[in-house]
Amino acid sequence: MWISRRRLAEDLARWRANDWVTAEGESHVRHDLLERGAGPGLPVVLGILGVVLLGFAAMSFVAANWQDMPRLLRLAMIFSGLFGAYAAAAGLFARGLDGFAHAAILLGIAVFGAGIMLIAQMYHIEGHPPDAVLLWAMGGLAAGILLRSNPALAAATVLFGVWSCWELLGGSVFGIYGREGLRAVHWALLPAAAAVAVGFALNRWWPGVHLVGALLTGWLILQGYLFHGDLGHVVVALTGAAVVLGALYVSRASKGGQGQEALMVDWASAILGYGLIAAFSGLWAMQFFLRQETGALVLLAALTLALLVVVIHQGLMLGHRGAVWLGYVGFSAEIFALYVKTVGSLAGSSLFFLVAGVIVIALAAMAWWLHQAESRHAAETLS
Amino acid sequence: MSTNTPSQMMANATHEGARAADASGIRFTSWLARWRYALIAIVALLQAAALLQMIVSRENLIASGRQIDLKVVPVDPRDLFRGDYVTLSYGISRLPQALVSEQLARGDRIYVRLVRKDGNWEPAAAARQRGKPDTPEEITIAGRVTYAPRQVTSTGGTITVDYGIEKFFVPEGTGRELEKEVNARDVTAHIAIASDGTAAIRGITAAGHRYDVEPLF
Repeated sequence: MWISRRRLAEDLARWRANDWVTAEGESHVRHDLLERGAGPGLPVVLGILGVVLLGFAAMSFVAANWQDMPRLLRLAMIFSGLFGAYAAAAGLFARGLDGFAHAAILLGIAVFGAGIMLIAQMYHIEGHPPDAVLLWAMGGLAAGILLRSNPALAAATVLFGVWSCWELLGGSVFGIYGREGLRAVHWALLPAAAAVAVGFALNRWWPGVHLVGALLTGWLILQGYLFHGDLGHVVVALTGAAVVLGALYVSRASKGGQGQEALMVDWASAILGYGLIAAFSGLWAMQFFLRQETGALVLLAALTLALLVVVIHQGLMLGHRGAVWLGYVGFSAEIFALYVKTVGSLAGSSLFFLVAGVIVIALAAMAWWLHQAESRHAAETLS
Repeated sequence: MSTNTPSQMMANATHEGARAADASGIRFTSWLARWRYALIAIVALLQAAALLQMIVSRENLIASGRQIDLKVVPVDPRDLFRGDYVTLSYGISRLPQALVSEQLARGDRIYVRLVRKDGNWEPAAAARQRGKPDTPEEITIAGRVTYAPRQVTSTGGTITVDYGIEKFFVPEGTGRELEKEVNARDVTAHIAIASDGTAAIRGITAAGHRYDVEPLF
């Protein structure tokens, strides 16, 4: 699913050269690749961008405070804009122009949001601003699921993210009250994220599922920073690590399968990356943002590097390329940050080299052990 | 397929579940495709209904809510005028902590009891729960705590509350004038309060000039 077309074409040529694939098979595969198309074309992308611009036009129209028009006329404009956008969507679907129809649905959602703002302005409603964003997001979600519209679902995902941040940070301006009086964990985001994820999964649109993954990961990491004391980051790191272990377990259990099993491995591969990002962020904050005793720092650094090595190793074994790259990036960032933190401090460079040396030796031992276990596993599978 | 190990059994069970979920997913999406045009209409109507509900509830509140006038107090002028609306602050926006007996947190819903004294409405008590019914000389207004000191102290901390009536939108370019009048302490807000305490601005009077929320029809 996440293998690029170019990579597949290269592999295909190699398989053909080795006679693993017949000439007929190769031509069928190449034909199929062409048939599947390359996603939405330029016209649809331009259509969606145009709609985003129209949406901003509608919203700035509201912001310009059009006092000269009678209120009834303003409302009539909003409602006719709303129904007009959805009527256009229906007409475009009827002509088979699905891409443009989805752009029209997105326009409908933008007009819906502008309508909420306009009515709030007409009645001088200050209220609780995140509620307005939530209402807007729910409108996007309904359109996204019922009309199977990925752009609508993507808009809803972003709006749910804005809503959650606003609820957490509070105030009429982001973060105006600082850390004072932050709310408890904003659990309400989870069912919202689940709903958009179901919508994306039904449409088989994986970039959308990744969008939800990014939203949830950002949400999880944010919780670590919003709560006083060390516990927030510990919970973030442990949750991320649990996700990593769960994803690895599913990958290994479903490894080498086809159909549903291959799908499970793909899912696990994506989830593994998000789990790693969360776990690494939590551990990073604990090491470099919180005050730590030297012993605790060494322990945390060792845990971080061990986690990264396990993920890199498993990523290589299971073919999760994204996880491998994330692991390499994390490893470099970790070593660099440790170096910066220790150099110039009391313990100085000698501590850094001591720690690095111990860690690398421990890693070597672990890699050897993992390699042995892997070979044994492979031997058992073959026999 | 042999099922020797627990992990394989579990994986198989998961795959069965995934297959079943897939089948029902396909049924659902084909149902969505069959009813696509009806669903487009439903989505449009749902969104329109949500907007309409906002309008109707506000119109009702303004028409049938109890009407009181509140003095607007000056706020930091730098914060006052943001774009095309004026930020309004009231005497009841800052409550002495002595009025509240419970520990409040930011975001809590709060009911503030106002009592009429010499023609002005002044806060008499505040609580998380709504108190006794209103009388001609007393009314309850609902708000949301935006700041509360961490601990209940007797030394007189201040709680700040938003009532949803802190923004007044004005025609483009007229905000500056209104800002001067607010600072000259010459602005009164005309508020409608529903029986559940929800408040809405009906209009404001600044230096003798009244700006009203025009009726819809």
